[in-house]
Amino acid sequence: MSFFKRLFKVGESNAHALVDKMEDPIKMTEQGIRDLKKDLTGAMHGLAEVKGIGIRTRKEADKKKHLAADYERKAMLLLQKMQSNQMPAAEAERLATEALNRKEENAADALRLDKEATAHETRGNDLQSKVNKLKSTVTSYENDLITLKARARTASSTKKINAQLANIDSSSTIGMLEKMKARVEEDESLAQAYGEVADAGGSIDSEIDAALGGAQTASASENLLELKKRMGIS
Amino acid sequence: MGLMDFFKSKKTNKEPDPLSGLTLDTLKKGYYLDYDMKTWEVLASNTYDWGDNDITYEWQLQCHDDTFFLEMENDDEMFWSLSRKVPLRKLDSGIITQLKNGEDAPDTLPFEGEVFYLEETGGGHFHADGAEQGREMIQWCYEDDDGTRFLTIEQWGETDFELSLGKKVEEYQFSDILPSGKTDI
Repeated sequence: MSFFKRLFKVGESNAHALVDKMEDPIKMTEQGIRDLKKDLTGAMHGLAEVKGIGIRTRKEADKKKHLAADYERKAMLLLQKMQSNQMPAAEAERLATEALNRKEENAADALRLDKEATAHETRGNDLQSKVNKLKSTVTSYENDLITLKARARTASSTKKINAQLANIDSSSTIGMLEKMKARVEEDESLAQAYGEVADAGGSIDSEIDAALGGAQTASASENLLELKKRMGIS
Repeated sequence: MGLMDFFKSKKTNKEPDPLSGLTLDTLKKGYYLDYDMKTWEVLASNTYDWGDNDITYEWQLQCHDDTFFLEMENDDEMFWSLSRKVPLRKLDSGIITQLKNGEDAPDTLPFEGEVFYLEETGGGHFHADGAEQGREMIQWCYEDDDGTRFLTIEQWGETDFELSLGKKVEEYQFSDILPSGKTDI
């Protein structure tokens, strides 16, 4: 059984090696960065929620503070009415006491909410600095990837060029040059030969023409003499 | 789920790139951003259409104790301003009467010890939160001597006027823009 297990392991490791060769590292890195950005977006959503809660809690605290101040003002107005005999003392005092109780309740609520709002804001600030760190990390990874992509492209092109250069055999290049040289010399010789042949043919013609041309000249002067004779010109 | 649903392509709300896609001009309702050491929530995203492709974009920002309106105009370059609503009673009542009577707006406007100069007037349509149907309105824009502070009078109806006081701002003054976790429209 252990023999088959070992065999399986060998097969598995070979399969992994094959997959490793197939994976494109740039594509894998791009996917990794996309995943990181997704996580960053999630963190930012979470931070937005915390900040939103902070704002609402702070607003609630302010509202309670205003309410507390309002109840205190009402208590004072009631006592003023009592002083100016606009209201029975007992009634005024009862209502003023109630108002002050409400004031205390709202003041206590305001204090509690203030503390909660501060806690939310502190948590928010902490999260913000973590998000900023994450942003800076992802930006740095993106920049690294851009550089690596450029380097990979350059390396790939250089590799191809160098491979081609390495494949060219210098001796065969020389051989090709020698062949070409021989062919050119052959063509030049042939051209010279044709030229000589052409010249030779031309000189015989000119001899013949020269010889005939003397005869032709002689017949031409005979024709002239004859004509002169007929015309009676001496 | 019907047969046709099977062939329908799923609508995916594409999240903006968290590094480069969150800029001031891409703000949406529900986003958060920091300004002046406070966090602000974007409550609304509105537009003013002045015609001829002249559009002013407006975002209503609110923190726990204040509300601002951030505006952007693209006139050769992006121009940003921040304003808040101001009670109309702070303005000389004669000016509003003048406008109600259909008279021309004055060329200068004294306000809180400063003089503002009429820079622009125009009519347009206000689209709240991307609404198709716009609301007609008229605006008179005044600037201070420096051109850094603005006083704007808006008329929404026969007797419906609003006043806002604003200042020029720069993009770098806003930071840490956060997208909403809710589905973006």
